[in-house]
Amino acid sequence: MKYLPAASLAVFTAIFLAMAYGYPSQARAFPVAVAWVTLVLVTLDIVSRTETKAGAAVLSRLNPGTAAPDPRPLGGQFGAAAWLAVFALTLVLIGILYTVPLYVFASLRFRGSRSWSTCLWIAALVTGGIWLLFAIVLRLELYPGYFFESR
Amino acid sequence: MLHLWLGGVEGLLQARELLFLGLGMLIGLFFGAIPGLGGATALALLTPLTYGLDSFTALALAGGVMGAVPMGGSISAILLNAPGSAPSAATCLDGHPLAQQGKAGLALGAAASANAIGGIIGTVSVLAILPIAKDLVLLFGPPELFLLAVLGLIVVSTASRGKMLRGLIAGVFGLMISFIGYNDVTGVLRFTAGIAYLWDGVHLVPALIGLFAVAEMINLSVKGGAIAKDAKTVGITSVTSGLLETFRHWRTVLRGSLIGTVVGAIPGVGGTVASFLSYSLTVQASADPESFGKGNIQGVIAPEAAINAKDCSCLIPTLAFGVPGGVEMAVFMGLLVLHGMQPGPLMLIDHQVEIYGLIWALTGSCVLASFLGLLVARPLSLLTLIDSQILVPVVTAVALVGSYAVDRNIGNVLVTAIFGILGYVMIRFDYPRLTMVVALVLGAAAERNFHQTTMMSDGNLSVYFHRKVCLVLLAGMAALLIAPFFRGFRKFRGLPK
Repeated sequence: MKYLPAASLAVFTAIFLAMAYGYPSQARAFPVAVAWVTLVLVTLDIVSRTETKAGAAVLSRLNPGTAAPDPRPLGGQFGAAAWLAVFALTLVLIGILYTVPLYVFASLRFRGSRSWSTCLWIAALVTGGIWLLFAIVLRLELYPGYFFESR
Repeated sequence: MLHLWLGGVEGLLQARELLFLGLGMLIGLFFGAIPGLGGATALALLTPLTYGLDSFTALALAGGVMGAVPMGGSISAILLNAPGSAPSAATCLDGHPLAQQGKAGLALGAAASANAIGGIIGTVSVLAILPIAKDLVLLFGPPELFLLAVLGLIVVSTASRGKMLRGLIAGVFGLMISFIGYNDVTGVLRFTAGIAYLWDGVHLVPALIGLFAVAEMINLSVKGGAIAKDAKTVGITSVTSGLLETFRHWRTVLRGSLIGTVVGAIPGVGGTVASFLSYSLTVQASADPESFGKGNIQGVIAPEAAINAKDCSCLIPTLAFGVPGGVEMAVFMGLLVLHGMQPGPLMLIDHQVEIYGLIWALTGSCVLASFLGLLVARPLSLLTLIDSQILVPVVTAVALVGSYAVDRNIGNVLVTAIFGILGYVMIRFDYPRLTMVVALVLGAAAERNFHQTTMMSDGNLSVYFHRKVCLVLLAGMAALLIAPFFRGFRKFRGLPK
């Protein structure tokens, strides 16, 4: 787990570098230089996480103040990220005016275990506030959603 | 000169102008506090409505909006870790930890007073600089602007004490993201993976909303509880002590204001760089740099002073050359044109009274908004006691809809969500988000200026050593890179910091 961020960035940088070499020389000059620097830094980061002499040396000189993350249940973290991802995707698919009350209601009810009435009035208040501010005051068309968009 | 200044004040002190100034201030506070809206949106919406007003009244309204937006941005940055506008993101770094400690009143008090003082110092600086503005702006060409961007990144990376390597990694990662989209020098589309939304690159404001507001909501949702860890302390913390802290740290205020004034006067650099540069230099200058990011009040004062000082000096390139200092100024130029004022050197001659009226309106609005901020700081700080189970869905919903509202693009919502998750990962694994933000802001401009320098010097890099401002900037970089080693050496020798 401790290697995950650095390893993920290394993979991202490798893909970035491969794409960069497909562009004309002037267009890739700056990105390629930055990507190679990234690979060097990521390698140092990975080394600093190993329990070796070299790792300890890099850690003490370049990352002495970093702390190991406090233990948290993985399920809770994935759950929080999943709620956000589902909310964002639903916004795209069915639009703002349907998604916002659904999300606020469901979040309060299933994650917050609030009463039905509390969930209902908070969801209505938030949706009403967003509608009033964005649609009425700012005269913005609230995104109707991919399924309801007029083509 | 004095009669022009007084002419501006006299014009502003009419009932109608004062009314519109106050209205603009309220609108600015409100728009500044909503993540994703900000001054540019407010001005864009108001510009057509000013058509029936005379030019002075319209400028009073615009000045009112622009002066109050930073205070609104500070309120949401401190209480919810959701920067109302991009420059306020620097205030999140120490303002929100203070709110978590139950010291939201202290942070808001300090932000409001630093805002007001920064605005006043910015005004005084602009009044002094305006007559020589032309010469100052012309000192900065592509080589200087490129080095300025590199200097910005170095300043921020070296400020990530104890985690310099991770700070640098976050910075270069931010640079790679900033390369996505259409490259205006070479005309090549890069790293878009065929997604049309990415042609304009990753939009900055949605990314910032994700990195700060949404990431914090994920964090809060996993941790549970409320933003303020100790409910008892919230009511006790005095707003006036925040005000006193600002005066106690007068050097920080002065440094931030001067940084804001200088950076604001450089076209295209913008308030985000000013606030982050001011924050980073304050960390560098501090005897206790480790306390930053954990709730050091100077971490609130430094960016706030810079943001408001920048607002005044941003007018210099906008009015003198017609080159907007940022997005907000670009929209403001539209308002000027609508009222028959063509930004450029002639404007400094033909509309002097209006210009000084605008400067006073901006300053007045920033001071009044700060007073209003002080008045509402205490009740607002109670927001930090709301349970996360209620706060998280409400703030997440407003943040995502706000990110859509930036330019009515639904792709922004996905960017905000992705950057929200990325921001949470960065919090968890202790990678500083500060360097990434600066890289996102400066990346495209740095590359553009690098290419322009290469073209104008036929690839000869010695151009950087033949220009005076470049030499000053290079010396600044060298000093910043050597300073941590020098400090380490003094520590090793047992000398005081």
